[in-house]
Amino acid sequence: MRPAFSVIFFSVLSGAGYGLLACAALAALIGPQCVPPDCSRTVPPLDVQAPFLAAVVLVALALVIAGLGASTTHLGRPERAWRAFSQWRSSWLSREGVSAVASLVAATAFVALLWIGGTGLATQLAAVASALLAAVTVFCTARIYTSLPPIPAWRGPLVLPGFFLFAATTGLALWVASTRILIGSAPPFASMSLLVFALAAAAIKWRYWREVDAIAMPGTARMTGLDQIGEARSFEAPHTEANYLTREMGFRFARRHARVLRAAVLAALVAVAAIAVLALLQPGFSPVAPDSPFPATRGDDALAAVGAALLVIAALLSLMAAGVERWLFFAEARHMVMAYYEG
Amino acid sequence: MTSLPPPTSRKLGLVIDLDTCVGCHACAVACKQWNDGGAAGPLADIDPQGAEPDGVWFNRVHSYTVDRAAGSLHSGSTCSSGASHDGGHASINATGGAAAVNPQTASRTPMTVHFPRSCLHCETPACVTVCPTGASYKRADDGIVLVDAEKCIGCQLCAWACPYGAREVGPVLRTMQKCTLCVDRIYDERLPVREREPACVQACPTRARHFGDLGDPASAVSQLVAERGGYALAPELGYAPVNRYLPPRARRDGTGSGAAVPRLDAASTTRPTQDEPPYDISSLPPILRWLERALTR
Repeated sequence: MRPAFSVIFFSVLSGAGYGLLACAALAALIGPQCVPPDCSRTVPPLDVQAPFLAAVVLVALALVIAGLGASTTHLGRPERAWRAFSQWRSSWLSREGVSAVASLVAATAFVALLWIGGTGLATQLAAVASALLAAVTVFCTARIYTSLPPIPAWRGPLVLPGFFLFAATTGLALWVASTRILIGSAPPFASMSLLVFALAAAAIKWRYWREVDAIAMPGTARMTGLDQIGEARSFEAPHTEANYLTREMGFRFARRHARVLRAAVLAALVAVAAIAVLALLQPGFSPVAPDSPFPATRGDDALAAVGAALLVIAALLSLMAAGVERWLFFAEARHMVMAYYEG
Repeated sequence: MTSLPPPTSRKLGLVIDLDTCVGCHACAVACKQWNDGGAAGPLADIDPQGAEPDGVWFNRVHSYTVDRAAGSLHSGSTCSSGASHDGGHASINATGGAAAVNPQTASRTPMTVHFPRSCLHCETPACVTVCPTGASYKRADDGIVLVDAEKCIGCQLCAWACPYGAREVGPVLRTMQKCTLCVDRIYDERLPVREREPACVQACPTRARHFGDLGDPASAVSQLVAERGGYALAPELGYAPVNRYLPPRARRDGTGSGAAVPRLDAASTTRPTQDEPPYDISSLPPILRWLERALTR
């Protein structure tokens, strides 16, 4: 399948935005409590974190809106995009659109309540709605692809968890980096989650690629029904130039370089996990400004700068891994219609 | 509404005879001509007479060489089954129609089959249910699958959902276009009754295309399908195509067979291979050309 950059930007950016939104919502809900393994650090109460959370939710909203904007450039007639909200009864793409808009409404309410300093039930409810709708939207995005029988690579059981794990990993990496930059300390629980999700994402892609490599596509004889006679091979195509089908479904570039690109994804995810381990083991990476709500950990300025830079690099690496992964997800997927041409 | 209508009793569709199709592309040309001016049109092309023409065709005619599977020599028993077409053998028999051929050599003689491909107007088409706008729909009264060009946003998900390649994006209209079964022709009472058929059926010089109600077991097309062992394309995918293909009749040398039950097995599938055929790197967009060079280094 042709990997359209519009769709890749959409699914990577909105996935990261929804992951980040869910992190902020969970932080608002969990409130003050001990976070393992270091009980000397606690998550500050909601009224202390509110301005920070509002800023993070705004970043998440910006990512989601940028992603949705990118997705409309994939349309032949973007001015008619509003029509896509109508067929939620049958179409996962339509459900995804409805859910995306609902999540934007919930997140906007969430950020508005945080902005006016709300810490009560309304804020909590907005946080719950934001997190749930973020998950639902990522689910719908994945289901768009898993509901296409002609593309077996997208039908497998690892596609759905793959979308969730990359949304969670990119969202958490952004969350850890923004906590470090905006309030001076990366919460250990978030760093630990990032470690787990990055490794899980790497593991699931490893399995996914092994499964994709083993997929047997129906050949020309099967797709034409000529297999009742024997093997069929094309000796004359219907047209001399490329057409929509051969351009859209016959994309072959990725398969030539799949090994290098797959290795790059896995290496980036392992690097993200390694940075998460460093953040956990080296508290000096997150020394805290005097007015920070987090308990202070002493460390020298150089180490602190390295820590901040590493966490930003981890966030960028996770986005890069998600981008390359999503590019391969499209580019490596084979569509059955090509059997009519390639035999 | 992209939810499917309840199953229709009328199932209008095409029956395509792979025995008599000569691969002349007249169906494709007649279709293009009719539909360019019809309700689904225009089927505008980019650069139609130039170096890289691009545009939608509802019909695409492939040509295949079919090697008979080793050890499956059939006796040619379907030669005499009562179909109403004359001259089919003479028109497509790539083996030359020799009357007495040594079975040893015959088994290695490939058969030429021309294969017109168009929308099959499936009974459970995923292209309709994935549509987010309601532009794609299946008609409740005759089962024809159509696209409303005024509603289509060009998201292309329906084309991804079709394993048969029936849908293409118009490069000028930027919406999805597909076979309409000449819905603006088959019901047109201003036309003589004999012309109320899809343009491709009217144009076929060997009468390899037939149009009718496949939901009615008594219709001429249903009976033709029953006589000749007509089959649906890849029924295991679950789309329940309405169109039927009539298999090539067995050759006088025994090549070919009647209607075996289609099946998916190891012999008829392909696996990704390392040695992909070469392709033209200069046709890639600049960023991929750069990536290609960077990765090949």
